[in-house]
Amino acid sequence: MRLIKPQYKSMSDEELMIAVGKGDKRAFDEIYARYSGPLLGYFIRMLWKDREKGEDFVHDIFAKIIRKPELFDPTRKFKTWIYSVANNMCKNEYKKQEVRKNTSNGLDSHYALSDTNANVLGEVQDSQFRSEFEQSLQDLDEKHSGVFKLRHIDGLSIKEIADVLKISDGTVKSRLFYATKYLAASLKDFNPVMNR
Amino acid sequence: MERDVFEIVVEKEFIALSPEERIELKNYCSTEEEYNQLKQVLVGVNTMDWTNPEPKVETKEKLDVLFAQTHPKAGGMWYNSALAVIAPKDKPIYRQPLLQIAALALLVFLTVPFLQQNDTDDSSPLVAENSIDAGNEDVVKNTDVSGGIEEKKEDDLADTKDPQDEVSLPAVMTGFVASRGISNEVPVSAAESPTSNHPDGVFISEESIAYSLPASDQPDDVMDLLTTSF
Repeated sequence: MRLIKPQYKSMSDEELMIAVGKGDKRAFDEIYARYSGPLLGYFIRMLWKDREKGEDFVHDIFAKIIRKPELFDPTRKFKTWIYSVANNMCKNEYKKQEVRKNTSNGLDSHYALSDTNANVLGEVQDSQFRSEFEQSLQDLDEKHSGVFKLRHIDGLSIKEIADVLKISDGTVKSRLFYATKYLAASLKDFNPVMNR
Repeated sequence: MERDVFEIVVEKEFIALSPEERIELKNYCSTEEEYNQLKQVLVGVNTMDWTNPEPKVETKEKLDVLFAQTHPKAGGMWYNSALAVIAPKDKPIYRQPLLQIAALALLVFLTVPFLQQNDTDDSSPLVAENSIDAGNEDVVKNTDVSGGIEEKKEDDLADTKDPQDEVSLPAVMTGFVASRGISNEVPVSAAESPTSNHPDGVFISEESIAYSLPASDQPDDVMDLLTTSF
C-alpha cells in the first residue's frame, strides 16, 4: 500500500509505462508531456510537413499505448520502442501513399500539401540555409533521411537508431555518412559555419 | 558515454584528429575537404532551432476520454476511497464527516481548557471558604474561651451564694410546704437518674448506655419530678 504519491517527474519512462498499464492516469499524462511534442515534430518531418496528419498520428500512437500498454516490453528502452512504432506508422503511411499515387488520375497527391508546406516552411525557416537544408533532406531517399533525422534532429544515439530500425550500428553509420555527404554536396554554396 | 564519430567531426578540426579517429573516418571521408564539408553540414544542423511543436489541446482531450473509457476504475488508491467516505463530493460541506469531525475536535480543543480553568476557579473559593471557616473556628474558640471564663465566673458566684438560695421558695410556698410536712430534700431516685450532656439526648451512665425514654415509659420518675416541683 502506498502512502506517498509517486513523483512522476522523477520516474523513468519504463516505470511510467508500467504504471500506465495499471491504469494510472497521471503516469500517462507524464508520458504524454514528455513525448507528444517530439513525436509530433517527428511525424511532421516524416510526413511531408503535414501538421494535421502529424496530430492524427500522435493521437493514434498514444491511443495504442492506452489500449494495449502490454505491447511495450519493460526490458526495452521506451524511447527506442516508441520511435520504432512511430517509424513503422510512417512506413505504413508511405505504402498507403504509394497505392494512392498509383490509383490517382495523374494528380499529385501532395499538391495541396505542398502549398501548406510552403506556408509552414515560410513560418519556421529563419534562414536560407535552413530552407535549402530541409529541401535537400526531403529530396533524399527515406532510408537515409530517416536515419539522419533520428540522429541529428530527434537526438537519438547510433545504438538507439539501430534498435529502432532493427539494423546494425555499422549500417546506421554508413547511412548517416551517406546522408551527410549528400547534404554537404547540396549545400556547398552555403557556409553556415562562416556566417555564424 | 562513448562519443560517436559525428560528435568528433563537429568538435575537432581535421588536423586535430588522432590516428585512430582518422582510421575510423577513412571509409567515409578521405580528404580534408570532404571532412570540412561534413563538419559544415553537421554544425549547421546542430545550430538550427529544432523546437518541437506542441500538439493541439483537442488531441489530449480525446486521449483523456479514451483513457477514461479504457480504465474506468483507474486511480483507486485506498486513501482516495477513504477521502470519498469522509469528504464525499456529492454532499454539502456542512454534512461532510471530515468537517464534522474537525468541528468536534475544535470544540473539544477549545472547551477543555475552559473546563480546567473553571475547576481551578471553583477550588479557589473553596480555599477562601475554608480560610473563612478557619477564622470562624478561631472566633468560636475565642468565644468558647470567653464563655468558659464567664461560666467560671458564674460558678465562682454560685459558690459564694448561700445553698439555701438554690431551693428558696416564695414565702407563701414555704408556708404551704411546712404546713403539709413536705421535706425540702430531693428524692434519691430523681437525684440518681442519669443525666445527659449529649446533644441528641443520649444518656450515658458508668455501667450501661441509657437512652432517653418517653415519659409514659417512666411514670415513677415523672411523678418524682412532679413531687419535687410541687
